[in-house]
Amino acid sequence: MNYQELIVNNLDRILDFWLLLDDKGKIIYCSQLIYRELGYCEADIIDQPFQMFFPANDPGSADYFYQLLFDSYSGSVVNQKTRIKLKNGVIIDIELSLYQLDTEHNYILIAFNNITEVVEIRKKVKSKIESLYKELNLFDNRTIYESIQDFIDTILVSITAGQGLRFNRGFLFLVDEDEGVLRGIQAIGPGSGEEAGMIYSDFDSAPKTLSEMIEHYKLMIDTDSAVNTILTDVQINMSDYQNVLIKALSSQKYILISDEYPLINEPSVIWLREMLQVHECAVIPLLWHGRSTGVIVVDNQVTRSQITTHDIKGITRYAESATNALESAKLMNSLDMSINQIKQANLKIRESQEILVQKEKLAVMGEMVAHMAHEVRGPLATIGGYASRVYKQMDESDRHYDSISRIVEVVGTLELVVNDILDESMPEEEVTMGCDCSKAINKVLNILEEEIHLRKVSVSMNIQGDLPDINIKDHHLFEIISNLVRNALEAIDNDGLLLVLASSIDNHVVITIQDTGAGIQSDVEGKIFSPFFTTKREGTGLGLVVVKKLVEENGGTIQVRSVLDKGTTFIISFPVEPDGVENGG
Amino acid sequence: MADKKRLLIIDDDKNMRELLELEFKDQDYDVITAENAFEGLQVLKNESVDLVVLDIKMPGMDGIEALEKIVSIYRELPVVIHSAYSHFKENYLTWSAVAYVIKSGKFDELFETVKTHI
Repeated sequence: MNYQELIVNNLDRILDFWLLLDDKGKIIYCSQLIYRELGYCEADIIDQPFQMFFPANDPGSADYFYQLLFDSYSGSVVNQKTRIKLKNGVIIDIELSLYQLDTEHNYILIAFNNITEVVEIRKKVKSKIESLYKELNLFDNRTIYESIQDFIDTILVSITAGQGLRFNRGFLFLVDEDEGVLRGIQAIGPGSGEEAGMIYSDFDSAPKTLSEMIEHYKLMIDTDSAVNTILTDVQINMSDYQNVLIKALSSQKYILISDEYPLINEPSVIWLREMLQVHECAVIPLLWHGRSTGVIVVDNQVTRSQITTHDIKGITRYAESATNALESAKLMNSLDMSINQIKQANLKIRESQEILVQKEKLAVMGEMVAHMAHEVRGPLATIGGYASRVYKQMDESDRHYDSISRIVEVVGTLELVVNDILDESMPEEEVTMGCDCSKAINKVLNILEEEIHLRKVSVSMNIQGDLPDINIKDHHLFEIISNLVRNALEAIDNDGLLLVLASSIDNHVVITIQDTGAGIQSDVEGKIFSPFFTTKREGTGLGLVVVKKLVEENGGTIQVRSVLDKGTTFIISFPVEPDGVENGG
Repeated sequence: MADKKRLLIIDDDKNMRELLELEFKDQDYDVITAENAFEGLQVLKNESVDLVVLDIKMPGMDGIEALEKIVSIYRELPVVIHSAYSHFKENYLTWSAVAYVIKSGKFDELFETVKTHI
């Protein structure tokens, strides 16, 4: 058997491109692939020096070959990167190895691979990293990223995306300072080989911008759940300095775990490799202002391609800006929270301010009312005084006797109203507490007789005969009834009916005052007992407030029922005085 | 003449002042009126008075200031405050008066008070 022929013929199956040079450096043999792929024919190559492959204008290319020879003095140089030109002038990147086969005859074997694609990809990655880096600087513009979760997604997507750093998988761990642990947060990457095929086949059709990628990622987040389960419940005590993750964290230096890693038998390294099911992975610390905030672990579990220092450089640089962004996001987040808290506090302050202002308003109103009441009291005393003076000296037969007596009576009631407004009562005054409703109703109707007549209102009165007394001051009941009757008369305007009923029901005296007037619109029905609410042109809006206050102060209730254009009914109810209880005074 | 008790009524409200004069005269008192505190103090200098009925809200010198002056000069002279303002009752400056009656159309309380302190 011709061994020589055997080897040469089969070398093509072992090496991609190869050339055999003689002691003069001339090519005496080459692989078929050189003819096929590089476009040269036998005449172009045989008996030519190896330097013929070097681009003509590549400076130093002549020396390069001798450099290689010199470097291979011990027998070989391997994996040297350089560039050669094809027949058609296209330049490709190659990785070549040179072996001195026979030191006596100086035969040399040169083998090389076309690494143009790899170099292209690396270039692409590099430019992508740079563009990502630029884009990451946009982290400052946080309106793009609404939450920390968005950042985490962004980081992990950038690490693994085909257009990004192109690791197969990324695992993010963050320091939880409160609990003193490093905790697994999130992972991205295919959970299995099949998934990988699916995801990576997506590369070309993958969206181009980072935000699009993140959107894409969010859609896939379920597919990633398999990889995320790896991190479930992973937490490492920060004081566990033997742990490889903590080591990277505290030394603030990346750790490349491969078969060459000296501490390969460390339990934590074994644990990590087993957890990730890989031989090789890199642990990259995340640093922020000198503080270690977490680690990213990356691997190429699917493609099994080696992690190079170039890759590490890329991710370290990336991690730097990602951490900045992440920490800024955290700060923004807590700032946001503080802002929210401040907003809440402000809202509360504003609310209580409004309440205060409202109280202040009411206080001012109260003062005003008190002032007015005091101012009214003087003239009222004068009117009452003169009226009483005339009244006392008048004979009952005098035709003005009734008029004067009414002045005295009404002024007396008014004085009591003023006292009530000012929350004062004449201490010396004997106040009868057992009060007869029928008397009060009659008194009111007598006083308003003229107005009733003027408005042509028919009055229908039905008062139960043996009505029990109720526990209320006379002038209070008078005030209540006169207010309600006056309102009724005003509502009727002309030619209506006023119905006044009083009866005893279940230990209560119930007084009903009903009119056939305009009625109350249902939307204002709830407001009629509010201070300063009025529908009258010259009203103060205090009438029904006083009524309600007086009714309730005396243990009674008041209800209103109204139908628009039909009329209004007020029903007041007071508990009956229990028998045998002494009247006040 | 000698057995009639003499009152000084100080009130800036003409209607009230004249009404009180009529009413107290009816009650058999000798009545002198003054329409402000200065005039009232002037009266006290020249006339002997058994009791003063004093309003509080008055232009110029108010009743509280007048009261201070009166009680500092005429220590034994009873002063009854007669005011529409009830809240001055809480003012300790008015406490040197013998009584505080709130104005009303019914004079029963005022008559009673004056009768008690004269």
